Amino acid sequence: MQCQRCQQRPANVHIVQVNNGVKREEHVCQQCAAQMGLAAIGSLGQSNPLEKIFPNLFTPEAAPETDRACPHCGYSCQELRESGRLGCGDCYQYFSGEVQPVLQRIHNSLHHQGKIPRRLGGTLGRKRQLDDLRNQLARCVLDERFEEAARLRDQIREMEKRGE
Amino acid sequence: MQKDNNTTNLTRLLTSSASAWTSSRSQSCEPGQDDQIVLASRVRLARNLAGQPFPAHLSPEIGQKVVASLFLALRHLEMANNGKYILLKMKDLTPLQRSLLLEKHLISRELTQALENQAVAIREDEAVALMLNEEDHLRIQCLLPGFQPEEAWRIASEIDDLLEEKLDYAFDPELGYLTTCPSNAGTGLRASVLLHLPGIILTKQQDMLLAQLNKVGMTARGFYGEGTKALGHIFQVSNQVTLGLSEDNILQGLKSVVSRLLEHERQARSRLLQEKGAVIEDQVWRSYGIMSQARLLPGKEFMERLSYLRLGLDLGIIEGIDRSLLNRLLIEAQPAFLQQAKGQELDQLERDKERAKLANIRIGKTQREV
Repeated sequence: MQCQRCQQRPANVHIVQVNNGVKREEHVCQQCAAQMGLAAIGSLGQSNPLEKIFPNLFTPEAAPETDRACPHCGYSCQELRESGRLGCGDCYQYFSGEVQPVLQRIHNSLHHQGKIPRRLGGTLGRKRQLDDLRNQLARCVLDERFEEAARLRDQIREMEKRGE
Repeated sequence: MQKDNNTTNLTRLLTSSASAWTSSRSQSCEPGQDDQIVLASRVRLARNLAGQPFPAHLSPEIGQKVVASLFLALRHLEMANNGKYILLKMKDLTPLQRSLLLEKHLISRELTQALENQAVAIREDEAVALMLNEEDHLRIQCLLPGFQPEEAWRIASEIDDLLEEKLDYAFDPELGYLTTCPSNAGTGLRASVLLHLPGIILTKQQDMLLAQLNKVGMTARGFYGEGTKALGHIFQVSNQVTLGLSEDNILQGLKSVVSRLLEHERQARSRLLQEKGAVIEDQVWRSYGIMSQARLLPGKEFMERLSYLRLGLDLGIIEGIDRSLLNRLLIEAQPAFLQQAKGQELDQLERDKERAKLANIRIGKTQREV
């Protein structure tokens, strides 16, 4: 369709005006629309005002994955892929998606079975003990052994209090 | 780390080829016993400090902080009566001194780079070496003579416990000790044994056995570790898996694999004696002749001749050679030790000459000026 004003350029702006209930339509080219003082959103080569408010919504994808870096040491995902080594202890958490398959491949496991530092041994040991007591408590309640359950409940409360 | 003894200790450390692992436990052993074939056992633990970047990413300032806390923990170790340690900063050593420590197996190749903040603390008996800012912040090594990986683990773990009283290790409840390379994560434990396997090599079974080792999670390397050749029929066999197994499981796995290797080696030796007894006997005495009289000995030939002498001792073909002397010769014949003994830099031909002199004196007991 040709521009209804200049009759030369192709029409690519569709103007709909409603005046006192009377609808009037016009097909014009961009230049003529501009002369009329009309600037249709996104169609006249001008910047989209919404882009300034929500820039990320308009970029096709978030930043590429290789640009990710460990927030603790700054080691990047790309460095990790190239060297096969990690930058700090936190990298194991941050890059777990990359590291865990590697660990699985080398060791065929993701669960440490060995020594625990004594400092943590206390906390970890306590956690394992608490889990154990909670399991026992649940079993007692199911079996309606309420006296024993009460005793376990008190023991758990006592341990939790000491833990804090 | 006492000042007054330091100079003498350092001199001994850098001039004597005798180290904890070269002193032979096997002196009194009957032929066929494990310690004739297993020269040494080593355990290495990899540890890092929580909240600090691993060594390759340390800034100079944080690096100093890391070193300071490691030094503090080392002092604590000495206070706990775990023996005296000689502390050496790698930067303070000459390249020759660093090579000497490498040839004694007291430091790793990584430490010879002598980067900022790299150091080693060596216990006076040289059975324990603590490497600082190698690939990880801390590497605890225990190296003992003969087949005793469990004892090496016991010693290393005790030191680990003592150091941990002063250090906060990078540790994850699920993944264990966190290390620079994921191949060390979990227990951080690498247990290895140094094996003399001429029978297996001379009967051409090595490729088959190495392939089998890989299948059961073990690897074999040369005398000086990764990427080095099995000179002198010597292999280092170690565990590959460090996560998902307890330390005890790892050590038992290594022990059972090594026991099977020893069985193979003994069978191969008796087959060799039966089928090629005259050839083996000739090679042993030929080696004795060459070691006693040759005027030039390249490293490779030296290691091979040394291997035949050891085999000759094991099989009762030859007598009167001290086993610990053979272990020390392994070290003394290395380039840095030869240069150290001569007191000057040597080119390859000069080294071969010095190596031959050394063999003449030690094996042939000929009076020659070294």
